[in-house]
Amino acid sequence: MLGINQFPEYQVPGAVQHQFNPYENNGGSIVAIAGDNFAVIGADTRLSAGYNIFTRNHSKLFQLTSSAVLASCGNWCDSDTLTSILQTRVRQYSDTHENKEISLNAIAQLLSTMMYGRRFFPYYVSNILAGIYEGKGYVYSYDPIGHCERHTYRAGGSSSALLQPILDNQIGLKNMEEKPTIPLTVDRAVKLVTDTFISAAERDIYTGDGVKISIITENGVEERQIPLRKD
Amino acid sequence: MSENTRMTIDEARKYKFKAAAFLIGVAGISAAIGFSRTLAMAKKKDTMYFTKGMQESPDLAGVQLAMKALGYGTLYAVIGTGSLFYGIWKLSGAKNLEEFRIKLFLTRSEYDRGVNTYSPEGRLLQVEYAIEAIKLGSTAIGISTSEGVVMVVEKRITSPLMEPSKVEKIFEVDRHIGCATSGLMADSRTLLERARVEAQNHWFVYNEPMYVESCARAVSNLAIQFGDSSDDSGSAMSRPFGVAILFAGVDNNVPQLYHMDPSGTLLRYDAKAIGSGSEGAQQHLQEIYSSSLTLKEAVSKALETLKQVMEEKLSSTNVEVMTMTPKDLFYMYTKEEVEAVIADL
Repeated sequence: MLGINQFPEYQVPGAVQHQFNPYENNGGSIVAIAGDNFAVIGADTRLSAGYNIFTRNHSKLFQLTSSAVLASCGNWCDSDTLTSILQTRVRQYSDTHENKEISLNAIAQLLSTMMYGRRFFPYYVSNILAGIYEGKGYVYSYDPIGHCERHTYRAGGSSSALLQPILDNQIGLKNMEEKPTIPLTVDRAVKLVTDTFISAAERDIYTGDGVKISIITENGVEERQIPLRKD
Repeated sequence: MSENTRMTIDEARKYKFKAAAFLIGVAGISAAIGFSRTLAMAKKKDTMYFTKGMQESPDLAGVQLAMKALGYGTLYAVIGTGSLFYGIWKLSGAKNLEEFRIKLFLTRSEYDRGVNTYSPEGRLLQVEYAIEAIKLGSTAIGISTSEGVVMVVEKRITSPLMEPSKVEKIFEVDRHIGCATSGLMADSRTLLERARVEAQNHWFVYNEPMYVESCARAVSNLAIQFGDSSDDSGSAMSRPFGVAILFAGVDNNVPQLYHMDPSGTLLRYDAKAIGSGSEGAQQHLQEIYSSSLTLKEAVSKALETLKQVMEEKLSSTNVEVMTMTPKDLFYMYTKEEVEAVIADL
């Protein structure tokens, strides 16, 4: 990278180097799968920086309504702020709209608007939103400046490159000549999410300790926790 | 608001009764004391009652005469002034003491000058005058049915040289929200602008159509931002808006009708009339409304109601008709369609 070292004539006493590194990567991986009438979303519980582990039990899942759960990882303080503001906005929505609960699609757009509002100093986070809208399962993924895209399955965070191919193979059935017809049930989705995290914990040092899974159905949100490798 | 006003008026009345009772009590007691003292004095000097005669007065008849005069004088004075004031009161047609005071002394109460000063009865008179201003505006009628909402308005074509199509009283806020206004049209533009901005902003932030009630509430929030603005919201109005608005809209396929007045009061109605003919029209709406009305019936009933309260003859040039349905959303009737409905009346 071009720096002061390339310009020896400037390396004199008193030359000031300006640097600003406000971001830190605290790792973590997130996965979500949308079914016909359900959505499953999972996140590991490790909070780390470099070779250090801050905590082994840190939830990256944020339940926003009875039918929407957000998973957020990356820079922890950014995701903490973003999710706090989002939760406030969700409350304000029902306060200003006659106590109506905000829909999943409205949250999806709201999150996008909020993140693009920080276009030139973005929240350094990877977000996946999962839930139920009008009885159907939805998964939305975001880039750090708020681009929002709908998927049926999506992996994000430090192990996204490890997790996404497993989902492409198991759910997307990519590049197969004879595609098997296995129905996607809640049980299978939960097992797939668990398996992807077991694989990621094997290779990625920023993912591990445990995985929290939220299952969103019309009856509400059910939470489960499964232990992972702790090394 | 009406609930509150009634309560404060009731309380004010109670207070007045108490005050009057107290004053009459005090006046009565002092009068009684005064009279008895004067009488006692007179009696003292009268030999008729005081035979032992400690003090003999030369003019006995004079004392008796004075006593009589005092008695009659008081009686005539009380009856005279009482009936005079009663007569003035009745002639003035004042309903309460406050109005009587105003009528008698020809001064308005000082409490209607500032928009931020309550009268002792707890009323904001400028706001009430603004509501009165609506009654000068053209009539607008809205009827909500299970199939959709219909709104009809009267257009006052005061000169044959006017271009009737440019007299607009019904506006599209968003595809699923429309509004009809009555009162000061220039004021309505400011409120309409707010409604449109709020509706578009909601769509931008949440990617969904704004709820009709939320939109109407956003407008009513603007409507009460009059008076001195101490904060930096800045563009507050110096007076209440002289507009009443009917909002017709569709939320999740449910048609609904809201009414907002200059006090910012927002209420949902099955059928509502605003403007100069509102009192008669509202009465008529109450008679004809039923929850089983179809939209087609509602259109003709609304026009029929408008016809009854309009001074001029109902025609396709001096009315606007709009429907709001879950299927077609905001829809303005064309001149031909209006003519067809009028022909069927």
